[in-house]
Amino acid sequence: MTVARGIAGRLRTVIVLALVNLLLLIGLLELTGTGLFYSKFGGLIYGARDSGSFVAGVAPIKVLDTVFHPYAGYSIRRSLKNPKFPEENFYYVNNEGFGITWNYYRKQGENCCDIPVRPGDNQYLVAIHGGSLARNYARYVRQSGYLAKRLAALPAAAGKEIIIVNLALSGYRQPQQLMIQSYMQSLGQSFDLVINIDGYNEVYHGWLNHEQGVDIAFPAADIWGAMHYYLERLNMEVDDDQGIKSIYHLWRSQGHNRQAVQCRFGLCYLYHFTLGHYFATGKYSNDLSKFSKVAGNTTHFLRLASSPKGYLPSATAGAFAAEQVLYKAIAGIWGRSHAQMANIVSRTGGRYIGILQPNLYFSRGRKFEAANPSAWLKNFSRPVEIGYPFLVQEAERLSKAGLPVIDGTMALEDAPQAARYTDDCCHINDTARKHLTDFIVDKISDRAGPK
Amino acid sequence: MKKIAVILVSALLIAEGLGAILFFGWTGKFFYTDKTTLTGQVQEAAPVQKYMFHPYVGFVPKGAKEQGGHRLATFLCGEGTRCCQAPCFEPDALIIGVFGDQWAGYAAQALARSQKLRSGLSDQPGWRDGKKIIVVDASDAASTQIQHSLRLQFLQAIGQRFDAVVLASGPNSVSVAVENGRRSIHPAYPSAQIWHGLSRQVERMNLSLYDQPGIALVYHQRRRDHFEDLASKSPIATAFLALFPIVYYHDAAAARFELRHGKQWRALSHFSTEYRPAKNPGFEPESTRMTEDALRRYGAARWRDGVRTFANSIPRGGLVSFISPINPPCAENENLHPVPKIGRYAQPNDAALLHEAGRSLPEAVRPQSIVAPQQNDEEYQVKCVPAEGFGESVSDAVLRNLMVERPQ
Repeated sequence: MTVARGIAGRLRTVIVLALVNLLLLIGLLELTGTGLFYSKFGGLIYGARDSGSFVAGVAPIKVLDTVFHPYAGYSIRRSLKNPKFPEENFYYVNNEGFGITWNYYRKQGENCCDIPVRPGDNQYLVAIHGGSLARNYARYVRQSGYLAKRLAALPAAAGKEIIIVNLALSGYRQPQQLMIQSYMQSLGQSFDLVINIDGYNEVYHGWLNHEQGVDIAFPAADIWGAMHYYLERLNMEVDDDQGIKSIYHLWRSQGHNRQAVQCRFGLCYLYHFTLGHYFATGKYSNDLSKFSKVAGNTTHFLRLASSPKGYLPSATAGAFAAEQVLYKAIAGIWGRSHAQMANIVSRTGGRYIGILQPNLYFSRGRKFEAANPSAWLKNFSRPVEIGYPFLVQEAERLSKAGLPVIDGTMALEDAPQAARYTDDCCHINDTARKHLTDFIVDKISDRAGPK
Repeated sequence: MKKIAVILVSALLIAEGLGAILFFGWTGKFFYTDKTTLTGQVQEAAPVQKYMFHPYVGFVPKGAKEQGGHRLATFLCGEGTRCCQAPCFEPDALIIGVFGDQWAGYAAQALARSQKLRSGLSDQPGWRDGKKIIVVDASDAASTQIQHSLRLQFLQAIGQRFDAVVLASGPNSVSVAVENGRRSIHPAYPSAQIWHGLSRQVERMNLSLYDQPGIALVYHQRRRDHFEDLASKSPIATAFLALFPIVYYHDAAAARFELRHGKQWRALSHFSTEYRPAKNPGFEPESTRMTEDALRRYGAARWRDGVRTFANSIPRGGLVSFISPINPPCAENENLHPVPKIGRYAQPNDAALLHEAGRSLPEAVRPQSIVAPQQNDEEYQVKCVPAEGFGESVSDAVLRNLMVERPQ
């Protein structure tokens, strides 16, 4: 009896000890989880879920907003109306995948902006090509009506309604504009005036393409390249499964992360946080790294790493290591694309003007300051500093040959003080856009052609 | 111990026999001699795998990648030997670009071997006899006129110059418009059989962006592929048994997914395909109603506009263009050109439609008449090669149309 009592007593002690240790462990883990939560979100986990501070599992955009286009590389997903954006940035996308701001669409009515457009005798059709600067410029001239007002002074446009067709999109770079113009004309679409404002994407994304092993004449590696690279990680079915593994483990990681922010207690948070971290770093990164090694052999997309030998007669393999050679090749593609656009537009009775866009990092006298100077900005500035002189040379060469390609790098030199760049890359404000409009129309007026 | 061994061996033999029987039941083949047919079937099932996406011309044959530095064309020197790459910098060479469908391919081969072209050059101002001739074969049997135009634009943009350009096109633009239109895909886009087929292949497992079942489906599809591969390489039929639960799981997951999410998935495709005719006032009436007849006329109109754009991309006087004949149903032809049969939508009266469309083009860019085999040409019907005289006719036309003006 005594022995039994002794055993029971010891057992009780062990159980109590175990429970105490367990409680201590739970407490410790709870404390760790709470601390982790605090360090990440700066608040206590208790009650955070009910406070509305977190919106778990709601990704603002669940798929890429761009889609592959067979001739332009990529275009915008149709009818993208994402409530994440403020209304003025809503995008209505026409039947050929080009965007129109929501306000304009709403004002003009449904199907306002489809292609092809068949202008009446009293209408003057203007196409705007280029990257994001041109896209924003198209929005500005539509909303402000300033381009229409200035063009009214040209005999060919006098008294006519000016219709702006936006064919620009962020990241577009030559020869994308050329391809789009050719496609439009193959659809039977002609324009009275084609304005192409570009240059920055050519050097910046050209450099990025080269860095990422995508041909310098192909669309931007960090847009078109990223689209297909992401898509193909899901689809390497024939030779490899690292791509899908990486997505699978990324999804597991994201799932745990979503559940973590839904937790009411630190212990729960710690559990999901740890697994989320494990899948993200232990699995996903490893899979992604392995996938990268085989992706080149199994891809469905032609990427073609640039070889200078193919672009410049005097270059030797590997000579792109010298940046000047790379940017000279980029400038060559840019110039030839402009010349071809000028040919196909003018031969169908239209006017073409190509403008080398001004940039923050290519000063012609007036200094524009970067908004947030940092060491990283070198990625923006270096391609411009080295590449722009080649573009300027090319513009001058074409201009001397009688082609309407203008060096616009000094376009903002005499702009009002309020004209400025709105970011550290290349975009400009409305005052600068207005001034750019004056610059463009003045250049059109200076040149011979059907004014 | 012996008993256990006997039981194990007999269990393995039964499993092996069962595996072999199931394999026979599934494929109709004997496992130990025909096991590779399994993966073979998988690979052969998707002819679109012969193509890759290209950002500006929709697609290119997969061989393009192996050519390293490929720029949408093969360069032929001398008697058809491959040489150079685009852009090919040969200042002293006569460079002839050949664009279009399979007839352009025939023309490129004929020009590369043409003695008439070589001797005829001596009569040309500015071109001395013996000059090196490079024929740039930029043809693609499955492409349409818009693709030919963009191919030319791309090659010129990267610096390729041409002294003469040959264009052979027409029927594909009509056939593809009909084919695409029937599938509600943009009739001006590349052949749906290839471009859209390729996009579906790339995307068919791309379901994971928004939902867990999508991820699981893809993951198990991969596991299935892995075991399928393993089973096809294994010398014993038992390994084949491993396929069944995985295949079952995959099929069940696929069915569940399609039921629950198929519609959303299609809406979330990464590829711009769906056609919506323009509805703005003043839009051309021909494409607002996509009947087959309207699609044919739409295809012919896009061919005409594409030819005009193509011609406007090169200096005046350097273009030789002709409307390709509509291919007869020649069996050997399919072996020569194992591309998806986009010609199956062609109709004899398409030729008249194309000629009618071509008449509205300016004289300088209007397609010319070339001695090309007709539908009733016996030699072409039987041998599936152009009639004798085709090469000479093309050579004559090229000699008459060498560019005198150099592009900027």
